[in-house]
Amino acid sequence: MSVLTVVQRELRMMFVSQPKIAAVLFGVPVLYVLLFGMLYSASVVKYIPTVIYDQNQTEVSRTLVQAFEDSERFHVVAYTASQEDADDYLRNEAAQAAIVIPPDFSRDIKRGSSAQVLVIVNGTNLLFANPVVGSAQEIVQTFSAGAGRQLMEKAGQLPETALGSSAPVRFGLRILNNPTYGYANFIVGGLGANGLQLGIVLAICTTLTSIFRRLEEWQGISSWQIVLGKLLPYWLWGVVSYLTYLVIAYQFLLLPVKGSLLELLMVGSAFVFAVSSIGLFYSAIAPNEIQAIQLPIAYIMPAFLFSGYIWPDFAMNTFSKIVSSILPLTYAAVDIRDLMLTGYAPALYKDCLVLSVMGGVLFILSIGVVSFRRHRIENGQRKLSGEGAE
Amino acid sequence: MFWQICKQELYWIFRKDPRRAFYLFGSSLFYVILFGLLYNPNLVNAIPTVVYDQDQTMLSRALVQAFDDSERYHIVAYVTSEEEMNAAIQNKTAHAAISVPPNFARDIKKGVSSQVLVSANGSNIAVGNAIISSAQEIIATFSARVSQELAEKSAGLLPTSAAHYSAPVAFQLRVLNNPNLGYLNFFVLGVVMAALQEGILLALGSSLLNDKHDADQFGKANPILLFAGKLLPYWLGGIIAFACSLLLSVALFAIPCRGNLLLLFFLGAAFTFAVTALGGLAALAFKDEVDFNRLLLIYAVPAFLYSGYTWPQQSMDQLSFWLSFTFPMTYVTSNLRSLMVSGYAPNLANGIGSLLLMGSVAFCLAGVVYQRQRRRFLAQAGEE
Repeated sequence: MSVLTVVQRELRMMFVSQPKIAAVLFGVPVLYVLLFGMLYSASVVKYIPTVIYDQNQTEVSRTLVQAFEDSERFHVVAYTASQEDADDYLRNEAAQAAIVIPPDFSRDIKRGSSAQVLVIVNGTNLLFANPVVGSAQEIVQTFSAGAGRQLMEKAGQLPETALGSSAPVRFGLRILNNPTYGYANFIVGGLGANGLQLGIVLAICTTLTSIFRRLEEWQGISSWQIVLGKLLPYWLWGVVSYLTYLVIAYQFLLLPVKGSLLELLMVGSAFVFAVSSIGLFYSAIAPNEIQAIQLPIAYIMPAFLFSGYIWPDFAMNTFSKIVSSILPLTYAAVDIRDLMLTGYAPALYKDCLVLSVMGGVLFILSIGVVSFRRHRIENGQRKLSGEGAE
Repeated sequence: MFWQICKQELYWIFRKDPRRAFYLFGSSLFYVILFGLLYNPNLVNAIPTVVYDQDQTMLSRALVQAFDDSERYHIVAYVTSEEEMNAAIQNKTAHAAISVPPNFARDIKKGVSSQVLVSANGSNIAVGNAIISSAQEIIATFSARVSQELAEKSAGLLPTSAAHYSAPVAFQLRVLNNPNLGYLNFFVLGVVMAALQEGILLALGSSLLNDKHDADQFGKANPILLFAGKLLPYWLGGIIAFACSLLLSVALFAIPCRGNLLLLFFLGAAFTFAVTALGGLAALAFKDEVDFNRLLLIYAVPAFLYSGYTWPQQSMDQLSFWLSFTFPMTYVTSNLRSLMVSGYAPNLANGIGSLLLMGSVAFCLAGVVYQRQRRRFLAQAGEE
């Protein structure tokens, strides 16, 4: 028997006798991309429920309120008549933000004594709070610049210079790589990669564990042939699954895929290799199938959140950096996103190298463990039969 | 009889198969520590930034200084061309770039407004958000100061009124419950609930799918009683794990606990009840523990992300919105966060009610299924 026979046997197992294995490996990433593509299809959090407490009720204050109403970010759910009412809305989470305009708002502006607009936001869910802070700041500043210009004109400046002196420094913002600033662009690629590694680990992590119970079936095949023969089908099928989820992301979810297919394939196959080898290694050392399947619980969620995909590496403390550095997803997820959104991943080659080394080392270790456990079991059996003969 | 069943189950959890105790109590505690440590910095600070100052005057340097003084930014390089600036962002040596136009100071003095361009790499929204809000604030403050000086000079106003003329409307922000918009308060509790759910389900699956051991001993027991007796220790264990993980997050990571302890207890009890009952029902559909565990792991991430804990339910499309109601996590995560962080959760009663209803329905269904499976099992055992 050779590697090819092992591959054939494994393929038959994956697709014919236990098709759930192939289904899990292929299905989880595809399912994740579809599920989360659907979940984040709105891509931007808009229409944030907002209450307005306008104590001024003048033309000026209503202009400001109108500016909030015109923004897609805010959805004015109520106008309240007291601060308590506004607080109640926030407390009951019927509103996430409140805009409070003071009683002397328009008089203060006209007089040239500064008027304050208070924006209150519930900070518990950052997906509400961040857009509120950003948009409200922008709306109030634009309004302020306009009001300042009128004041300057009154104070005797020419209209052209009035704006220049009331808002001399303007803020220009350019969001690169994700111009719509969409959440789906940001997160779906990585969740797909996380699904991919989950699928691989779930499919592969029992594959070597089972051979120790039926060693006689594997006689005449060396350990490296077994491990290699078992790795190849999962690797290939994993890459197919990876490409499928990219196609779905591109074709159905309309996410950008700007990078070259070759580079995407490169990082994908290195990643699948590394994760498959981890799964193989674990299946080699796990005492039984049930325990082999339970490793991923400690691994999957941390692997995603520690990968630097959301919480960036430069903001991690030393502990997190160390954890992050041993997880394969760290070397793939961000690169996949970069390739999708910008078409260029600066760390691509370095990361592919790290993944290959990681995979290679674990692959060799797996061979070591398999041959060690085989010898031990075979020696045990020989001893037993020897004793029996005596 | 019932207590004997519970005792037997406890014996399994702690002595014969301590893996179960480990899952039940360990997973949520493990997650508290792990993610408490990850999000301990709380804010994305020291964002690597490049500066492209085409003006090189005192004024432009004052603006750059304002960025440098902010904790948010860490200036890694000063570049001399737009290409270099773009390359720095492409190569990710920087995530933000500040570009000051030529004639910045001259334009301002002339009374022509000038635009500072902040470029942010938007592919990671956690970084992008930190840049947008703070850059806007820094520039607004700077602009107001410059404008005040201008008004004093050109319009001949007194300094105090000049300040008001130049920035007549001030933006004041009050962030409730999570003042610096940190990640610890926002994220950790939900992830811990996801781990708690997984822990209960793994332990429970191990019990229900290997429970042939108590067939002889409790052969005559009422199947419903047997089933309830097997579930009860996991429910109680789940409540204890819930309490311990909250305690740990408060003690170690200073996550605030402003809510009423009794309400927190009810929420935890209702959640663990729903998870135990639903898990019991789901486990009965499987023959093999390995397959059941596969399902659990696939379930974990969607259950968390669909719960409305991060991506709000109001921004979901119709299908996702309805789907989100089928996950017990939906009723616990946001309520727990509100209760802990703000002391009040408006949807708490609703959430607890839904969890109890979910749990009761699942428990009744599971009871019926278990009864059938048990009869078949005993009949087979009798034949043999």
